[in-house]
Amino acid sequence: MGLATFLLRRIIAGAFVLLGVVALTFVLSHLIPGDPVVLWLGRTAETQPTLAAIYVKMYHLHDPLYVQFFYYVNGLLHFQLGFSPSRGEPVLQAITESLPVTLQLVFLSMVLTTILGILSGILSAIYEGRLPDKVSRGVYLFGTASPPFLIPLLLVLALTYLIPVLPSGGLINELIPLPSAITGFSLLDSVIVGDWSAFGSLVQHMILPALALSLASYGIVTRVLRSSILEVMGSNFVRAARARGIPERRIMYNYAFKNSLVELITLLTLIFNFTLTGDVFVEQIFSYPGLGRYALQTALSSDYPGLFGTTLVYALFVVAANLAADVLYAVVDPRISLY
Amino acid sequence: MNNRLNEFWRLVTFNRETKVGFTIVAAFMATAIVEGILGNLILPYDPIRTFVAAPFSPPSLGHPFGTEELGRDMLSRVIAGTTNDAIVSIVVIVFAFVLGGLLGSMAGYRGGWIDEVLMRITDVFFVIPGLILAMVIVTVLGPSILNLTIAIAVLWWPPYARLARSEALRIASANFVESAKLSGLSTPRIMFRHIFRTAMPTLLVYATLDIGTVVLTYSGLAYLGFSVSPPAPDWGVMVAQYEEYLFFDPWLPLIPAVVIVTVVIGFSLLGDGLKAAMQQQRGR
Repeated sequence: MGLATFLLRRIIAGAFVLLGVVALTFVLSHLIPGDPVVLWLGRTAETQPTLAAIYVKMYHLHDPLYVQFFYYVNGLLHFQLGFSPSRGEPVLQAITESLPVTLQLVFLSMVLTTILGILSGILSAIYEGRLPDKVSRGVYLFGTASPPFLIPLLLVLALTYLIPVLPSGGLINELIPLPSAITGFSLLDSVIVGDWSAFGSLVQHMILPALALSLASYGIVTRVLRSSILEVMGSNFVRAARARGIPERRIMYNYAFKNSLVELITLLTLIFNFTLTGDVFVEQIFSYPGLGRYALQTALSSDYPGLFGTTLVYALFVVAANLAADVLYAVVDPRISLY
Repeated sequence: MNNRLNEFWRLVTFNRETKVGFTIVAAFMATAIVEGILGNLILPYDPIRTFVAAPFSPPSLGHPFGTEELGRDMLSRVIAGTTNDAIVSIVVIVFAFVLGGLLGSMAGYRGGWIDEVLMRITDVFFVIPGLILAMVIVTVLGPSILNLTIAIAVLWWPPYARLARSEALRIASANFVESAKLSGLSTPRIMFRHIFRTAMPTLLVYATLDIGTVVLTYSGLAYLGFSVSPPAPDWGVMVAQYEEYLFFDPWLPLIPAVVIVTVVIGFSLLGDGLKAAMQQQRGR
């Protein structure tokens, strides 16, 4: 089986999973107690029966469920996510505003997690059982055992109050205007426009949230990489390489580390999921106006269109991340695309 | 029975870390049970009563965890908060264990379309970050601790189903299952009495490691405001309630958070130990 067929199969599988997610949100939206029209319009439903009738018609509320589902999916395919009462704007607009903010934060934090994880993973494998190894185990235990709000709070306490070096929240210094939206990614836009003061302020405001996300997760990368490297180091082909007199350092990088890459990719999709979860808390604590904060806002204010819209976006991104991982597998390990 | 107790003791004292983990877990459970039965009787102060001492008293002998904004005793509040986390995590894990375990055993043993359908359903649960999905479900049902428990339970079973399925696939070809089939036992009986039971130790180890994750998820969602409201004593809720005092009275939000970390580390040390003990046993 060629790479193209392999990818096509993965894409189709991903599409089916997304359809499942859509079905799930559809079922959930029908579990909301009460008349949907009243839920959406509030008291206006009573005073404006014509408007209520338009809603019934628009959402096909008098049709059987499977017809409603068809129109629901059809609407989603045309990016009709509805209107978000908590933001006073269409859900799609709220998402296009907040998604890039989250994506650039998550991206930065994933890069940081990978770098920290690889460095400390290799160190723990070299110094197995000694101090660096023990420290990394401690970081791992603390990171995975911390409730998602603890590390952000500790960072706020340490770096904005005890040693006040960084701003405690927001996307950018309020006195600096955001660069005009070209790509929607403010960081990228500021570079394109050449607005360096905005760029500096954006980065400054990203450091703490990104660090909070990475500190919670890089320990996991460290542990998995460490055990994978140690496993390879004990294998026969490494013994053979040692017997041939290849220096230990080269064995570590060219043999052990490269073989651990496949595992690292699997792990990064997991970390991505983990980071998206932590992001809800981080954005809340650092008043960072991204998707996580919007999702929380919609949930706390029973803004159902917004809530289901963000859920679908999260699912879409996790599916996309898994797909990207599949592509990377095939690139890193040619054997994968063979089955 | 004595044999089983001995075996249990051997497992929980497998190595030093397991002992530490077991001690923490036992203390957590014992506190939750005693607190659940006797209520505020065991507490030094009523966790809700205000002004048992001056507000914002730092930790002292009389109030080891200090007092909060309205002079409530923090130690009493932290102890009283144990039950919520314990009950939610046990209910969620038992539900996930039984439902996931049975569905997974069935899927692995029977195979065919049941297997296919079940695995595709679990796929759906894996692509939505758990916390988001819990948030959606609890919003639809209406925020309360019961609905939050239901929300977490609903999304918690898929990993158990997958684990049970892979165990079932391994077990299904074993000789004792073959002989059970040949002796004419019914399929449900083989599934429950043989497959599910044999898969149980593996699932139990996973569950021990997993309880901590439920505690984290629950306290996270409680922190965000999807569980009880203050001043009800709950660890996650307390962190949110006292967050504004982070700079000047940091012990207020940090003590409940550190208690959560301790409990979760307890479960993961115990779980890791049990895993190692089981691997050693299999190796023997």
